[in-house]
Amino acid sequence: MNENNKYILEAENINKHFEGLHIIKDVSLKIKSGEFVVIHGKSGSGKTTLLSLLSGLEKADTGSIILNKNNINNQTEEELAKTRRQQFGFVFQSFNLLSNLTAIENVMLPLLPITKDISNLKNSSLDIMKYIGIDHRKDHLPSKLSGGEKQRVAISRALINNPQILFADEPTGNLDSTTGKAVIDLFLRLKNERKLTIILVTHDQEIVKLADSVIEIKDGEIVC
Amino acid sequence: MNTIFLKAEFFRNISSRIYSILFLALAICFFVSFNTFIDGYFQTALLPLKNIDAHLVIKKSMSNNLTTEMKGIRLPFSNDIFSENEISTIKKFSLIHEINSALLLWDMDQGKFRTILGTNFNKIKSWISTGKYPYSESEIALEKHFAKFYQLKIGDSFKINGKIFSITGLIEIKEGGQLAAANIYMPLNTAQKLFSSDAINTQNLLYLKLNQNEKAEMLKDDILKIFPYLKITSSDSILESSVGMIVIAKKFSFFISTLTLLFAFAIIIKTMMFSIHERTHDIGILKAIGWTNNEVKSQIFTETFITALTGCFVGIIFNLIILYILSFIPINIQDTSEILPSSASSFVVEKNGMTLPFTIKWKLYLYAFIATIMIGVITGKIIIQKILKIKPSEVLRRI
Repeated sequence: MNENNKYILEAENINKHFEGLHIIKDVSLKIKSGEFVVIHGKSGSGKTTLLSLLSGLEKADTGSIILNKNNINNQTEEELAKTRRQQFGFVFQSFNLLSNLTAIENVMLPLLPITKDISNLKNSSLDIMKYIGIDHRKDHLPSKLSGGEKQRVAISRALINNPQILFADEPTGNLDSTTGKAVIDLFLRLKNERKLTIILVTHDQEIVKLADSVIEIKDGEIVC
Repeated sequence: MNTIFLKAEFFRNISSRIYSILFLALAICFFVSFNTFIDGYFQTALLPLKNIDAHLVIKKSMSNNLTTEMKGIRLPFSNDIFSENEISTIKKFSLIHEINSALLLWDMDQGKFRTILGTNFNKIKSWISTGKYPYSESEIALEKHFAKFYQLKIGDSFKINGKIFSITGLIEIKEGGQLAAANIYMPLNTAQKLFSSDAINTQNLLYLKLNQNEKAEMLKDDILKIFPYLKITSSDSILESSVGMIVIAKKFSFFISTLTLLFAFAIIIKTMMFSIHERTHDIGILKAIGWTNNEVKSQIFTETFITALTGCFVGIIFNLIILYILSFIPINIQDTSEILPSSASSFVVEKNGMTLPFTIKWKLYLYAFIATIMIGVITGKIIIQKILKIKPSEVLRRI
């Protein structure tokens, strides 16, 4: 593997303005495949915005974000949506499960519009839920699940498309410390067993210690 | 379109969904029922002429016989007999295919009021339900209800103006057949002799069948130019005299129906917009996890469409129920402003009551369906514009 091939995601001189404020200032970074990367910073430092830019949820005003040699910052909204579905998985602080769908339906959700064989998708979803250890709650609505269970369902949903990169925005923010630790252990297991690249945003120093690399961000700039 | 998601979303806010469906259903129901009712009323109003197989019925307006004695056999208050000149002039109109004449008489016997129709009109003869139409001068047929009321049957004798008649048949007046309604039926010459021994060719009713139905009003005008005192009943005159409000309603039916559908459209837009507002968060999540705008649009569009089609279907069901109920309610269609003596039996007048024909108007259902599709498409398009503006990152930032 040469030097260029080992980076799965690269950002070059990206800038983002929001409501007149310069949120991300000329950020450049490189993320290796299979790494557990933590973006760390204080509240309001721009870490969530940086995650949104890297994952194609938002477009940078300038600069480029290279995923597998493609600049996703030049993609249309439709192309970006497809990139997110094919290449990325997402885990959010507040789980973001659809309240009217059962756990397994939430897991199936990203691939529902493009799947003809629903029973096959259901089986795949169940396999992932088993792997994550939440299959026993598959038919429950999110309102009947605990915070930790919800986050496990959300992680299962993030894995259904077999992504290259898993983006997690404060995944332990709404969980107690024990459950939060279990979730981080799960991420580490995914990294080790599935060789998954994980980019995680947190302000938790304990998680920072577990990272392969840390991107420290302050006032929209990478400080180390 | 995805059925799992569709099912979940359809029942997500069921009260709001029912609210949308119900409003559209009521609008569709009103649209179809209103137009069907108007059309049914029109068709019913035309039955009096249709059921006697005539396009025009001519009477001669009353002259001075209102003050004559109310006893024995006489002409109705509002009628007079035609002169030979009048009949021969009318017969000359080339538009006329067939003329059937009749003599309508009143019999006031010891406080009882009876109407007698003397005619050889085959259409009326065909109304015989039991027995046969009278042919000889000593035979009569009775209207079925009249016979039942007086407990008379075929073979019984019946006295009119001191003369004994034998009952040969019972007549069942067709719905809307009041233009030829009477209690007693007999051949024309029998009625003429009953009226007056020297009353040969005496007639006070002419039933005209034309070559072309659409020329009826023209012929009516032509006859009235020569004999302005004649009273001519045509389909238009029945509608004008009996269902004036309906005629006005028909003129505005398109406007009223369109207004109703626009109202339903506004309600659906409002409800669906509220639904989209409620679901902004969910739509943001869908987009974040990889649903494309087209996939979200297709999903919402299908939901809107199913809501609209369900509304249309429920509206048609409502309409069928309403029409079924309406078909039992008699409506009153008057052929003329006939003056009746105060002793006239109520069951003679009852025959004016007709029920609306219970007809399914496929064309109206098709219009309702097209309107629903249009509502669905327009609502969908408006909603989609709103969906396109939802940015996943902004939605997630608000959480």
